[in-house]
Amino acid sequence: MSLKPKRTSARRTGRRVSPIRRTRRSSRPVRPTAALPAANHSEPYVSVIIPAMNEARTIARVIAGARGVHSRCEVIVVVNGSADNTAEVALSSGARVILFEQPLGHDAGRSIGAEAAKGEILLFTDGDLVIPASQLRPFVTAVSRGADIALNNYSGPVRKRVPHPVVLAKYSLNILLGRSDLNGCSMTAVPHAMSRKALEVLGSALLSRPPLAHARAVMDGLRIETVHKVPVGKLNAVRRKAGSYDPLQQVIIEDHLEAVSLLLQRQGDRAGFSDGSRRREMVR
Amino acid sequence: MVLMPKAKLGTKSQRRSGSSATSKSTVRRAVAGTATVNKSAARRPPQSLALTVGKTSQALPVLHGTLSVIISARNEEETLLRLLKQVARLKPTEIIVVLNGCRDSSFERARLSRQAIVVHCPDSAGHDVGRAIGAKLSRGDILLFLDGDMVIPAPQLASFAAAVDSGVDVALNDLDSLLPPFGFSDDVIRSKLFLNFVLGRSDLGVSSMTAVPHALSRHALESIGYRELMVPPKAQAISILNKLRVEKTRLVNVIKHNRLRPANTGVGNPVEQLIVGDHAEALLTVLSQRVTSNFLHAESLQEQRRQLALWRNGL
Repeated sequence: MSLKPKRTSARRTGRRVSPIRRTRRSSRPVRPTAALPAANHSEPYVSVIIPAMNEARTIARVIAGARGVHSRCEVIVVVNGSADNTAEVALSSGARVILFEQPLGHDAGRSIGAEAAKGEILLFTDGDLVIPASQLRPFVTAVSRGADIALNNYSGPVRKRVPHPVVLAKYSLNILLGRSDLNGCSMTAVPHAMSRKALEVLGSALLSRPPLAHARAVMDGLRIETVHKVPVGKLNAVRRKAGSYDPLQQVIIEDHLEAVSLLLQRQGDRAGFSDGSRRREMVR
Repeated sequence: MVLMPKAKLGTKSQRRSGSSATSKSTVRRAVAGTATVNKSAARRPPQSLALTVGKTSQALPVLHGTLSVIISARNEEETLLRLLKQVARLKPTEIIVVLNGCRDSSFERARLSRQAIVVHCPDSAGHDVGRAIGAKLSRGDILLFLDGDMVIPAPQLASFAAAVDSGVDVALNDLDSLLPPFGFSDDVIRSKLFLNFVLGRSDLGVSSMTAVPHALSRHALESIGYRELMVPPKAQAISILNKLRVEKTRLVNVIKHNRLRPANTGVGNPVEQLIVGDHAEALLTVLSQRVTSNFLHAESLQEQRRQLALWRNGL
C-alpha cells in the first residue's frame, strides 16, 4: 500500500491518455467537419455558447464537439478582439457568429451568448478547449433531468498543502455558502450547463462575473450539481503572466471577495452559521 | 488505512492517555507509533538542550515583562492540575482559570493551585468567551492563552511568552507542518488559510488565534479590544489590519492532545460550523475596510477586463 496520498491534480507528467488533447501547441492540420449537420437547428433545445478570441486553430473542432451534444442544437460563437480568421472558420462550421472588433473582456462573452440563446438548456464552453461531444453531453443530460446548474466536477490541483489562491478562493466561497460538498467546483470553470430558469433568475449580465453568479445561484436556491469531470487544467493554454504576478488571478479573487460580501449582506455577519452557545453579553 | 488523518487543527484528534514527567517526553515521542507523529517530530525545530537535562532545574527564559496566563476550561478535571503545574514553572504574575459549564470537579482541582484566580460560571458561556473574560481581568504585559484540556510542557509554553517579550504582538502556534494535502483538509483548515491569504499574510499558513497556545502583548489586547477575543479569527483580522506584529512562533502539536468529543468530530460538526461562522465574521471585518478604498464602478471594471483580455493575448 502506498504511503503517498492519492493523486488529485490534473497535472501529470508523461503521455496523456485522455481523449481530450491540448491542441494549442500541436501542428495537426484542422480537419473539416463536413460529416456533421453543419447548421444550427431552427428551434434549438440546447444552445452552446463559445466565447472565442483568436482561436482559429481550434474553433472548428470545438464547434464539432459542441454540435454533437443534442440533435436540436445551436452553436453560438462570440468572437471578440480577434486578429485571425476565427469568425470565418466558425461561420463555415455552421455556427452563429456574434462578432466584436474589440475584446469584450474576461468572461463577458458568456453574457452576450446567453442573451442570444434560444434553447431551453445553455451549455457554456470555451474556444480553446477541444472537448468531444461525449464529454459535454452529461451536462446537458443533468439539466434536462432537473438540475438548474450542472457543473464541471473539477476542483483544480489540490495535492499541495496550500493550493493556488484561485483554488483556495473557490473552496472557501463554497464553504461559506454552506456547500462545501461542491469542493472547488464553480461556475468559473467551463464546461457547465444551466436551465433557462437559472438564466432568468441570475440574469445574463451576471454571467460575466461567474463567482458572483455562482453565489447568487446557491443563495436563490437553484439546484446545483457537480456532474462530470473534464480536467480543463490540462487543456488550458498557458498565457501571459507578468512574472509571478497574474492580473487575471487578481480579477478572479476580487470577484470571489465580492461574492463573499454579497453573501454576508444577505445572510448576516456569520453567513448563517451558528454561534453555538456563546453568551456574548457576558463580556461588556 | 488512514494515513493522513483528516485532522481539524485545534478541534479534534486522538486523545493521548496518560502523561509522565517531562524528562520522559523525548523517549515517549520516539516510541509513539503513528507515521504522522514521527513526521511531526522530525520537522520539529530543535528544542533547547535544557529540556533533556533535568526535571525541574530547566532554565526557562527570563521575561522582562509580567506574564498573565489565561486558561479556559470546561470539564477538564483530568488535565487541569497537571497543566497548572507546568504553568507554575513559567513563574507567571497571575494565573486566571475561567471555568464554564463544569459538571465535574474542575473547580475543586483549580482551587488546589494557590496562585490561580478561578472564575467559575456554572452555565456554559460558549466557545472562547472565557478568553475574553480572562483577558479583561488580566493585568500582565504578556498574555498567554491556554485550554484546560491539554497539558503542554512549560518549555513549549515559554516560547510564546518569550516571543511577545521580545516584541511580537501576537505569537501563534505554527501548525503548518501538520497540514495534510489540501484535498484532504477540512473546512476549518481551508477557512484559516483563506483568511490569512485575504489579509495578505499567506506566510502565516494555517496559523490562527483559534488555536492555542498563543500569546498577546498588552498593546495587542488594547488594540484589538478584549471583547473581540471571543471570535478569534476576527481578533486575528483586526490585529493584522491594525498592523500589529503577528508571527508564527513554534509548533505545539495540539492535534494529538485535543480531546475527542462528539461535537468536534465528523464532517459538518457543530464546532466546525462555529469556526466557519467565526471566519465569516472575520472576512466581513476585512471586506468592510476595503469597500471605501477598492470599490470599482461597473464601467471601470468592464474596461479593466477588456484591457486584461487584450494583454493576455499579447495584442
